[in-house]
Amino acid sequence: MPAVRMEDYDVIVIGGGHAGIEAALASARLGVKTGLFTLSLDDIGNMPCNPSIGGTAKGHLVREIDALGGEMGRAADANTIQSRMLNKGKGPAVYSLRAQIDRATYHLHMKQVLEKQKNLTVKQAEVKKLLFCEKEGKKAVCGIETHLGGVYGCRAVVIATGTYLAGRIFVGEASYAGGPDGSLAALGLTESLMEAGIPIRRFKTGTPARAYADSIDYSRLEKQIPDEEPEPFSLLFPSIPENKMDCYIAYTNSETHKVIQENLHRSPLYGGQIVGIGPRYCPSIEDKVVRFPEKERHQVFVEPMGERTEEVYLQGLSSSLPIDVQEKLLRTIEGFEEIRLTRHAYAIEYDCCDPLSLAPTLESLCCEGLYGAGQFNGTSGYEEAAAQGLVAGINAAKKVQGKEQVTFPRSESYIGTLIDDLVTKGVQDPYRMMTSRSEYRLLLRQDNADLRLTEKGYQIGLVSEERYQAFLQRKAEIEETVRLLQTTGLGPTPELNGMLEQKGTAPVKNGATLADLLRRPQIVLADLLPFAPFLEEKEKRVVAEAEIMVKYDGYIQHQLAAVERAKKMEARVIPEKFDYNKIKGLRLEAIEKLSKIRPENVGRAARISGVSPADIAVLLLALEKREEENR
Amino acid sequence: MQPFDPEQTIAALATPPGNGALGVIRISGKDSFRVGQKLFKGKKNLTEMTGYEAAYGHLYTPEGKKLDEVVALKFVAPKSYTGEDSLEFYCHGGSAVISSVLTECYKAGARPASAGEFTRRALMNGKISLTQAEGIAALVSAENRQAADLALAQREGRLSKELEEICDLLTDLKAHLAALIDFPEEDVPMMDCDAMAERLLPLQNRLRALLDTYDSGQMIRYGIKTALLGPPNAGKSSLMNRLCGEKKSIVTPIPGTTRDLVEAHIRLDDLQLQLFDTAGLTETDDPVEAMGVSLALEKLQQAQLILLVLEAGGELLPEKWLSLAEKKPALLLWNKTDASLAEVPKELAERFPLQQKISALTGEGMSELSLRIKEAVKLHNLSSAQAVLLNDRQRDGAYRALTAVEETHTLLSETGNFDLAGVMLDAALEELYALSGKRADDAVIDRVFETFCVGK
Repeated sequence: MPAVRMEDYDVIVIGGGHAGIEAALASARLGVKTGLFTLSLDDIGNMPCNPSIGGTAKGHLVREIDALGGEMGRAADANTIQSRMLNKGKGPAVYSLRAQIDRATYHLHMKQVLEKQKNLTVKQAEVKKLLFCEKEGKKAVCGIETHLGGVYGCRAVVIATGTYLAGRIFVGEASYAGGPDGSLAALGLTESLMEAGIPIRRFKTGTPARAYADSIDYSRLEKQIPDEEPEPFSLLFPSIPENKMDCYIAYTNSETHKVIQENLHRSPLYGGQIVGIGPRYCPSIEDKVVRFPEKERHQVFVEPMGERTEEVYLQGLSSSLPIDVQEKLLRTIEGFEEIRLTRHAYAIEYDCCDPLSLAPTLESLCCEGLYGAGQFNGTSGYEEAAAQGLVAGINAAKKVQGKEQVTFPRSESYIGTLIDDLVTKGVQDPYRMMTSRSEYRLLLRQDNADLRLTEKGYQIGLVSEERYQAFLQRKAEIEETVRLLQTTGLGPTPELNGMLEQKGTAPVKNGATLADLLRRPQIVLADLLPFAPFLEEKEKRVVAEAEIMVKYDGYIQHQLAAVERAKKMEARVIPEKFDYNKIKGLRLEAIEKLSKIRPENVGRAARISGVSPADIAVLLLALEKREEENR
Repeated sequence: MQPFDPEQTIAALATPPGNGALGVIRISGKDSFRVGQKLFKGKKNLTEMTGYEAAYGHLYTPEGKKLDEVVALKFVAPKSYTGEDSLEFYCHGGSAVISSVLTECYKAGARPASAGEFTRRALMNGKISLTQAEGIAALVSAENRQAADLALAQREGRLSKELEEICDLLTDLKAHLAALIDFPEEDVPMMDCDAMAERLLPLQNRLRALLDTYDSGQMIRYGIKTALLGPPNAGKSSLMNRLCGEKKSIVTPIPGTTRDLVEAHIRLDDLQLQLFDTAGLTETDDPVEAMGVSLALEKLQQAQLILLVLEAGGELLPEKWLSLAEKKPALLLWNKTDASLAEVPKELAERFPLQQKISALTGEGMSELSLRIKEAVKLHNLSSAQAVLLNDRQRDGAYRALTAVEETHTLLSETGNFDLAGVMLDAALEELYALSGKRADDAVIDRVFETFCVGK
C-alpha cells in the first residue's frame, strides 16, 4: 500500500484512553497543534475494567490532576452515580475519594471535551508505524503512519496504547488477538518501538464478568452505604456529585473455591499460555484461591455500570477460566444462584515498555521526542494513566515549543512519586499507586492538592487566570483561619473545662489558644465551635483545612525537615554524560543500573534498587574529585 | 573524611605497632603486586604467581640493601579483605625493620593507608556491612579479651541480625497498617489499634535492651567507671593500692589522708576499671559542704559502679552517702576481715545485697572481686553471642528508633490516626536501616502482597 502524505502536527498522541485524553488536552491547551489517533472514537475514555474513579491514593492523583488543570476530576464529578470518602477515621492524610461512574456518559463527556478543544484533532486510525529521523546524532521521532497509509509528520509523540498494544485475550482454552471490551488490538507498532531501541516487555491484567442486574438477588447481599454529602474531586469548579445508584457486597464460599480448584488446569494462567506478568494488587480469583487457601471467603462487589444500562460489574472476580467454569463458580455465590452474564471475564496480555528507559519527564532515553504514558509505562489504573498522560502531554508540548521540561518532585505530589518510582525503581508487575508508596504522605493529602499544585499548573500554563485567582483567595482564607486558631485564646470558663473533661482531657487553668486545644488528640475542631462562633461563618472546607494544618503541625514539620534533607542530595547534580565505568569502587551492579537509568542527581541515584549506600558514598567522592579537577 | 581514592594503592602495618614476633605489612590496590615485586626477591615472582599462594624470599632496597626475610601472601580481587588485589608481607616484627620496609613500599608507588582505610575499602567494595565495619574498628582497638569477643560478635553481624529481626517485625506491622489504609474495603484481617499497639511492646523492650548494651559495651571497652566510697580510714586507699599493684594513694592510719582525687586505670582479671578514690569527699557528713568538692561529686555521679568500702564493726557512712550509693550499681566490700569479724549489720545487707568480705592487706577475698563486680554492673549475663551497640552513632540511631516506636505506640493506643502511626513506623524503620547501612526500599509493599489477599 503506497503511503499518502497527510497533514503535520506538533504533537501526536497515540491512544484515546485516560492517558491519551489528558496528554492531548494538555498539549493542545498549551497551544501546540495536537493530533489524537485512536482505534475507535467510540472507545474514548472507556472504562473496560471497574466503573469507578478514585480510591486510595488514586483519589489523590485525581485531585492533583485537577489542580494542574487536567480533565479527569471534572469529568468524574459530572458523571458520578455513587460516591464514598474511604478511610474516614484513619487520619486525614489517607482519606481517599472514590466515585462510581456512569461508564457510557463518561465516555460521551470526554469525547465531546476532546472534540471541542481548540488546537486538537481527534482521528480514528490505527497507528502502524513510527517514523524516525536523526537529530544532532540522536534518533528522534518525526512522524507516524496509519493502517490506511496516511503519513502524518510531527515533532513529538506520546505513546498511550494501554492494553491495546499487541493485546491478546484469554478465556479458558480460547485465545485471540484483541483489545479490551471486544475492541481490536494495535498490531505492528511494537516493532517500530523496538526499532527506536525501547525495551519491550509483556504484562497481563484481567477483568471480571458483567451480569444482568435483575438476575441477582440483592436481598441476600450487603448494601454499601454511600456518603450522605458526596464530595467532588474538582476543588474549584465542581459539579456537585449525587448518589443515584447502589453498590452491594457478596461473598465467595468453599463451594466456589472448590469449583476453581477443580478447574485450575483449564486456566491459561496455570496452563502456561499466559506469559505476561499480572498485577499483584489485583489478582484473579483463581490466584486468590491458590495463594491464600486458608481464606474461607473473598468479597465480591456488585457495581452498577450506569443509569442507562442494566449491566453490573462483579468487582473482585477477575478470571481467565473457561466460560462454563465462570458461570458454575458464580452460581455458588449466595444471591447469584440465578445469575445471567452479559460478558465473560477475560485476561488480557499486552506489550509495554520498561519504564527505566524513560526520563522523569516521561521522554524516552532512547529516542528524542518520544514520550510514554499509562499502561505502556508499566502502570495500571485509569488515574495513574491520566496522571502520566498529563505530564507526557505537558512535556511533549514544551519540547516542541523549545521550553524547559517539567518534572514533579516526590515531595510535592503523588504524580511525582508515581513517576519517580517508575523511572527510578522500575516495575516488576503493573504498578498501582498506594499511599504507602509516598514517604511524604502527611504533606501530600488529597485535601490540599490544590494548595500544592495550582501554582505549578499556573506556571506551566494549564491553570486559567480565573482559577488561579480563586486559588489565591482560598489560600489566603486558610492562612487567615490558621492565624485565628493560633491567636484566639479561650478563658478557663466552666463551659470550656466541662467540655474538656467530658472529652477525657485535662481542664485549662489559665486558658489556652484554640490551636493549643486542637493539638490535643482527644479534641476536634467541632468541639471548639461553640467557643469560637466566628468559625461558623467561614467556608467548611477552609476550616477543615486549617484544622488539619494546626493539628498535624508537629508531624508536618517533621516531614518538611525530611524533604529538606532529601533536597540536599538532589542538589548534587550528576553530569549528563558521566562515565560510571571509570569510577573504581562502584560495584558492577551499580555501574550497570546507573549507566542505564542515568539519574540526574545523587538523590535519585540513591533510590535505585541495587545501588547501595556504599555505592553512593563512592559516587559522591568521585563527583567531588571531578569538581576539584575542573576547578 | 579522608579523601577515599580507590585508584591509589595503599600500604600499612596491619599488626599492632611495637616489637612483636611478627609484623604483617598489607598492601592493597591495583598496583599491589607490582609494588611488592619491586622489593621482593625469591624463587617466585609476585606479579606472576597465582592468588592465595605464599612465596618465601627477601626484601631489598633498590640499592640492594637487604631489609628482611619474609613470606609473601597474594590475594586477588575480589577475594581479599578489602575486595581489591592485595599482598601481605610477613616480616620480623622489629619496628626499625617494619619502618624501613614501609618506606620502600611508599617509594615503590604505594601511599600510606590512613586510619581504617583497609576496612573502608572493604565497606566500599561491599565486602562487609556498616555495623560489621564498626565491629572491626572496635576489634582492632580492643584492649582485652572480652572486648575482643564483643567486637568479634559484631564482626560476625550479630547487631545486623538483631536489627534485621526488629525491622522484620516492624515491617510486618507496617504492612498491616498499609493494607488497612490502602485496601480499606478488603477483607484484611482487621487488627484493632490496641492489638497493633500491643505488638510494639516487645519491640520496644528489645530496643531498650539493645540500648542497655551500649553501657555494657562501653564498660568493657573503656573500663568501668568505679568510685571507691567509704568512711575515712576504712581502707579505700589500701584497696586501691592492692588493685593497682603500686602505691597510688598515700596510705596512712590517719583518717582523711587522701585529699585529692586519685585515679587509676587497672585491669582486674578480664575487666578494666577506671578507679577513683573519693576519700576527700566523705570527710564531712554535711552534703552541702561536700558539694564544694564538686569534681569528686561529679565523678561519683558519673560512676558506673560504686565500691562501698566499710570496715566490719567500724564506722558506717552517713545515711546521705549510703542513699547515694544505693542509686547506682554498688558492691559493698567489708574490708579488714583480717582485723575484725563482726557480724554484718542486717539493715545494710538488705540495702546492698551484693557484698564481699575482703582484706586489702592480705588479699583475702580479692579473687572473687571481679565476679562480684560483673554481677553488680550486670556484665555476668552479657555473652559474646549478644548484639551490642559499640559507638555513639549506633546508640543514637537505636535511641531515635526507640523514640519513634514509642510514639507509634502512643498514636495507636490514644488517637487511632493510622496516617501518623504509619509515618512514625516509617521513621523507626528508616533509623534502623540507616543503622545497619541498608535501605528500606519497597520491603513494606512486598510484605503487603505476600501476607494479605488484597485485590480490588
